[in-house]
Amino acid sequence: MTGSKAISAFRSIKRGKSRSLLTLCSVAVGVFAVVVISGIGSVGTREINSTMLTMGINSAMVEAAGTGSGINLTDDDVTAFGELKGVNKAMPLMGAMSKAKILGKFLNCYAWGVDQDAKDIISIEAVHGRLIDDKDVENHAPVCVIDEVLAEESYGRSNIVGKKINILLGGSYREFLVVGIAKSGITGLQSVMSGIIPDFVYLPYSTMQDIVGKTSFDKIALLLEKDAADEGLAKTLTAEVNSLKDSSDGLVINNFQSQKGQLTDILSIITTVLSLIAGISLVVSGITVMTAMLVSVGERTREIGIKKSIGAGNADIMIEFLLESVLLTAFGSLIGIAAGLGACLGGCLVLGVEFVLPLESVIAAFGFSVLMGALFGVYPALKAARLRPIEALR
Amino acid sequence: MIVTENLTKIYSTDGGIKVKALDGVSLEIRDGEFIAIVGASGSGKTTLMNIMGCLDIPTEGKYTLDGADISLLGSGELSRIRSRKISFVFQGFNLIPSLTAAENVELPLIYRKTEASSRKRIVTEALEAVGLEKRANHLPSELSGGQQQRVAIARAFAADAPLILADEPCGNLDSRSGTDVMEMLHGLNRIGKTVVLITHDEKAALTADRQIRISDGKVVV
Ligand SMILES: Nc1ncnc2c1ncn2[C@@H]1O[C@H](COP(=O)(O)OP(=O)(O)OP(=O)(O)O)[C@@H](O)[C@H]1O
Ligand SMILES: [Mg+2]
Repeated sequence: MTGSKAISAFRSIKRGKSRSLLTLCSVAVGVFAVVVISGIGSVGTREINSTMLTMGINSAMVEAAGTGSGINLTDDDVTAFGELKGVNKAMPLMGAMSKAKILGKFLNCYAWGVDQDAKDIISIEAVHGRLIDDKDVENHAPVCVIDEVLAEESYGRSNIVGKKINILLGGSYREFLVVGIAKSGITGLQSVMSGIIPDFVYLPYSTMQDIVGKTSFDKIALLLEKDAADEGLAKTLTAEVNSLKDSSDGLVINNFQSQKGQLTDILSIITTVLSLIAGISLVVSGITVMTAMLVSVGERTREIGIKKSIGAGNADIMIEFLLESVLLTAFGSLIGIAAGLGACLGGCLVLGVEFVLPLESVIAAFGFSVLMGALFGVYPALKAARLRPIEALR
Repeated sequence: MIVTENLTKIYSTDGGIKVKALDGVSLEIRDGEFIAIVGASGSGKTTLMNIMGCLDIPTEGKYTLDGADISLLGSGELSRIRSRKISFVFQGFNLIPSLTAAENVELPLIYRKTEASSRKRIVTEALEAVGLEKRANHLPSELSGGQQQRVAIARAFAADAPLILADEPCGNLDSRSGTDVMEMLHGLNRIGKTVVLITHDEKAALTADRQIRISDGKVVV
């Protein structure tokens, strides 16, 4: 019964070819957008999670709560913090947004001033050459270690040890010798979202201090005995470093876990907002479905009259038209889902990241668009069902 | 059994003009009769047939079909009566263009919720009865006018309704096909169907058991 209605609804869709095709497209485009956006969201979240997991679980950073707190972090503080209970090691850190000019290309990056402990504390790893060592720090050497991604974006290969590059610091570009290449943390994602998660360059902190004209440090990185996400430890340490510096709450301790949380939060907010906007396009395609169905009712008035004359009730006609609009949206969203997932998969292959199926969003987009088809299909279907048989037959 | 008492139908057009298409029509048609309704163009024949076919309701008067007063029924009940008791054969065939001959014949059975298994058999039988079994999978556009009208008759045959209303079924056909169609309507009458035929063709009208003549919305004779 319903089966044969579905077949006849399908026929009607086939008959109004170009109109149905356009309607299908409008649904497909909306669903495509939702799927692609949520796909980027889930792939991104997974990437952040996996990299941040390997990146300094036991590390934390002491930094001033805001700019202009007047607190200067010095060598003495590094020593003092390093001796606190629960802390294994402390390392000075400098940090600044910067640009690297490599082979004539300007690339956004974040410059870290570090020392020889960077390997343990912020867990960077050299894939070529070496990391910053104690002699570099001692000599205030103009050397750097850069993220693999930066090398690839400029030279097209990862090993560019021995090349000279320019880094923007203190208002001008300065020349640095590349002594090592660090394994890029967030790989593919970095190249897509370089605005949010920059690529890194690492310099001796002493060199960086010279250039920006500071004797103090921006932050102090700590290697803790246990998981930095431990609330109690973070609390006592925060109190202790503040009392060491005679400040009540001028210093805060951030760990990479909380930064991971922030990143994924930002990402999920962005993708949610974008998905909602894309969701609006589904409402629009619902309206398109309604328009198409209304035209179709107009065109098929006579057919409706014939059906009524041979015994079709209002419910029969209603179901037929509703089925048609639901089939139309269901089919359109399947196309959109296929195309969207295809695009995500393709993007992941190109970027070399692992594909994550945004299953919930796919189901939600499908359900929502079919719901739109049903909702916006009701009025045309009612209109068709209510046609008076003689008027429809004339 | 059809009984009409004082049927009046007044159409009001958008311009506010009222047309009295039927004016106090009273008649009786017994089960199994073959009736011809004749009359000049515009005399109200189609209007009468629409009311008898439960496609429309009279402005005034009473129409009872097998004892049920039609004017008291809602659209749901009317469609149920159409489905079970009435089949139409129209001048313009009124087949669904996107459906094949067989599917057109099957449609009333679907609305009647006949089981799929018996539908197939009934459709084949009906198409055989009109000699179109070889055209079962053709679309109406692939059939001649005469063949299309035969599909419409097969549809009425399959629906197996006791009352067949035919409005100028031969109006668009050449005389050869027209004769075939008349022959088939008589065939349906012979197996017990009540047939009401509207026609301009006096010769065709004479083959009926009885003629009802209409003029200006009134029954004459
Ligand atoms: N929907 C309508 N609105 C207004 N007037 C109508 C309508 N339908 C029919 N009429 C008028 O009612 C009268 C009877 O029409 P009807 O169609 O019943 O005639 P008919 O006998 O079937 O004619 P024909 O032989 O030409 O088919 C005509 O004057 C016609 O103009
Ligand atoms: Mg007429």
